[in-house]
Amino acid sequence: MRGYVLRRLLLIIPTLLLLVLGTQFLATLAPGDPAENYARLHSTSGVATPAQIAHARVLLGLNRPFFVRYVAWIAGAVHGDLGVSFTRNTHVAAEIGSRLGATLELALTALGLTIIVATPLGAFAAMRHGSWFDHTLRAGSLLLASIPGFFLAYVLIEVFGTQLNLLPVAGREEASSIVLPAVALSAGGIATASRLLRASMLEVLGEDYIRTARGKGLSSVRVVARHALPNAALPVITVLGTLLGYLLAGSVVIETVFAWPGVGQLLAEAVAERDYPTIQGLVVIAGAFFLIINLLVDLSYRFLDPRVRLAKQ
Amino acid sequence: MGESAIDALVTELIHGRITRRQFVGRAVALGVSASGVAVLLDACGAASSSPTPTAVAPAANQTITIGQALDNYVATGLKSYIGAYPVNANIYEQLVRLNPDYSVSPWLAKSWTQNGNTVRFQLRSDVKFQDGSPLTATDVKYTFDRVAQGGGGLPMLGPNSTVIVDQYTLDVTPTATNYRLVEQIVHPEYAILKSGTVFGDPKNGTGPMIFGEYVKGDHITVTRNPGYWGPKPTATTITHKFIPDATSRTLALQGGQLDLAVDVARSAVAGLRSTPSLKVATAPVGQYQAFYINIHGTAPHDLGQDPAIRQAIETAIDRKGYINTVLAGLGEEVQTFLPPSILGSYASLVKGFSYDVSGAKSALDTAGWSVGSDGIRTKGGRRLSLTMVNGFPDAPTNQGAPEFVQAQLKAVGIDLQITTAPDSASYTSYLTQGAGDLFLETGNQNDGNAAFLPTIIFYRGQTFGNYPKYFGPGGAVDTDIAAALSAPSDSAAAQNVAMAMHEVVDNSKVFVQLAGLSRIYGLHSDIAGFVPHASNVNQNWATVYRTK
Repeated sequence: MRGYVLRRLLLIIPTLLLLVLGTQFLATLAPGDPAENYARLHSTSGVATPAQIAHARVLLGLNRPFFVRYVAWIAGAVHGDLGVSFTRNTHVAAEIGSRLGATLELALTALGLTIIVATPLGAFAAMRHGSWFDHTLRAGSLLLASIPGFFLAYVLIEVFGTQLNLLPVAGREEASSIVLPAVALSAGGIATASRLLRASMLEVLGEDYIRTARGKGLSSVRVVARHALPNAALPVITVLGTLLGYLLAGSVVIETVFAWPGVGQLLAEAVAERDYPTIQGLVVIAGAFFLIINLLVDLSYRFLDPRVRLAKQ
Repeated sequence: MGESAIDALVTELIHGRITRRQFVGRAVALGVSASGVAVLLDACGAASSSPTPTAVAPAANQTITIGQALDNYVATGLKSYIGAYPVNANIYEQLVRLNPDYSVSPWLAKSWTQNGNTVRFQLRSDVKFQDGSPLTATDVKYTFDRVAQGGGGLPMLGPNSTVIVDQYTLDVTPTATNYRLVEQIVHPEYAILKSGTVFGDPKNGTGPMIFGEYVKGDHITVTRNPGYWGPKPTATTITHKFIPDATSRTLALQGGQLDLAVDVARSAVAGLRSTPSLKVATAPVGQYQAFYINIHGTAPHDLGQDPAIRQAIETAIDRKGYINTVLAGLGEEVQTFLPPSILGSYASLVKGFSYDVSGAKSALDTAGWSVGSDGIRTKGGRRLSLTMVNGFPDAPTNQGAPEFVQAQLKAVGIDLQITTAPDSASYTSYLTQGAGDLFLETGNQNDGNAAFLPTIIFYRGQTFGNYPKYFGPGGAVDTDIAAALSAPSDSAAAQNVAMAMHEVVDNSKVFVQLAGLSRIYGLHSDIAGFVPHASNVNQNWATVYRTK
């Protein structure tokens, strides 16, 4: 077990190195000159002369060869230095840190909401297979998964913010501010997870050990909660793990629509400003989240599924 | 002229404490000319569609929340203008102020004189910073020297440009000939700081509002400055809340989370107007939507060099139709990108073009461009196909414009391909390479210098930017702009700029104006005292107050 975890952790390093390389390469290909952008932003006339642009290129280290910049960035990153933002003059790590709290708060709330809503819906639909509830859930989840996030966000704002005047529609000042963005962000996850859980539950409910449990006289609730759900949850956990990775990377659209000051908004700003260090920092942090969450999901199988434990042994 | 007295009078009118008749009488008594009174009244009313100030007493609760767009404050360095630019929270003030009609008035400086390339400013002696210390020439020198460190800005300030004469007098000499300095320093980037401080430091401005709290990406809050030297604001607290998405901003206004929303979506204006608890205010025209024709491009972007094509483009565009359909009627037909008021009577020097499809076709026929089987013209085997680059300030801002122009040009046999730059950095990249025939933009005039935009876009004598490399006609345009930059008076500068724009529009046909735009604001009906400024960065929010 320890060896497995160590091997997986070590694999994260080359993956991140490749991620940084790919990000830097793609950023270089993108149209727009960050030196010109920097010079213009830092010139009090709002426009940049060729001399100012050339100076900015040297100042930002953009005159150095591609691999020199790559190695320099890696060297800084291992010491916790993700560089300095081209446009804000602030340390990227600090800038991301200041936004990460908002994104974590939103992501974890959306994930919690997904689990709380999708689990009973999926389980109940499987237990009542073929009923009107099952049909409604299937149709409803298909509809929910098909609605673009920004559209749902506007509908939620219109209904709960404007018409009913129940909830704030933008910002992060009040505790209730999180409700609408969290609902909008979790909608797709609820649709996917509930359908997946339903399908998985249907398969599990037909297994011999479930029949045995019922034969022993266990109540339906106990059969589902104790025996069916943990086994049916495995594929759902994989999906939720991936979902959390996406959520932590920041939802650009939802954060923009709800003016939620998280890393998604920061990423959108950084891309628009060709702020390479910030883009690179955000991609690496998001990549690290993905890899760690994937590892945790894999490890969770060991505890949830005895077959995995036995196979490992 | 007694500027503070006039300010007080305007505030009285805005707050509904005097009638318009009383306002006119007192303004004339203060020596304001008839046209000046009209301008002031216009500014107070801002536009016919703006809410007229009513005689309603302020309410007890004076906390106002304003929905702004994206938080574009730079947080550190010399370009850090927290609280000043682009969202002006009225913490700071400049030596001179830009009026809604783009004229310039005294502010922290009570007067100035131009002596050759040097401007001597006489400061007011009754101005105090929010920490209680008086404003002196030392503070102005500190501020301008700071600008010089950042490159000097458009006024071309150098390390030795600002010289203190006495406690309240100083001389400012640009590093090169620049008679437009006074009109340039109206911009909030030239707001005066307390010596030794930076933007965003608490209690360091002279303005009506005091810095309270700034949360990046979320809001900036300011409170009333009880010791303000001018008319005291009624609002006790103003929170500028950043909501980047225009639709969300509009919905937040409708939901009551905002008292006032900046730049509401054009598509939402009719809905807001029909809601009894809401109203819409529009600023005078200060923005423009236009495209420039690349006249110095290389193949395949060299078709703009043909005068017949430029003539056809100018006359093929139905500007009135554009305003009515794409802009939902919320635009004005103007001939240049300059706000009409900035050129004054000289604006008539620029004739512009009328919608004339047959004239456009005829120009192309005469030049040998014959219509092909698909309706697109060809000449010598070459198809008349142009590329329009859309992306400044961003593509969504210009939504609908490329497609409208495409349809109009197709009607005269010109094929238009649309390239959408995802952001302004990409757009700049296309521009730097001259990779397009037509470049579509929405811009804004934020200072009082009539030569500002023509210099950036068309003046081949300037050493920054790529615009003139592709759009500068040279010759008379350069001569006129150079004359405007060194003109001794605003009027002479306006005349020279108008002559340059006449050359650019009517003769060179390198500039195609689509519409003059106004900023649109949505506000609750219990919000009063709002006077929309054509230049949003010069907006005075401190006059806004709540009646209920």
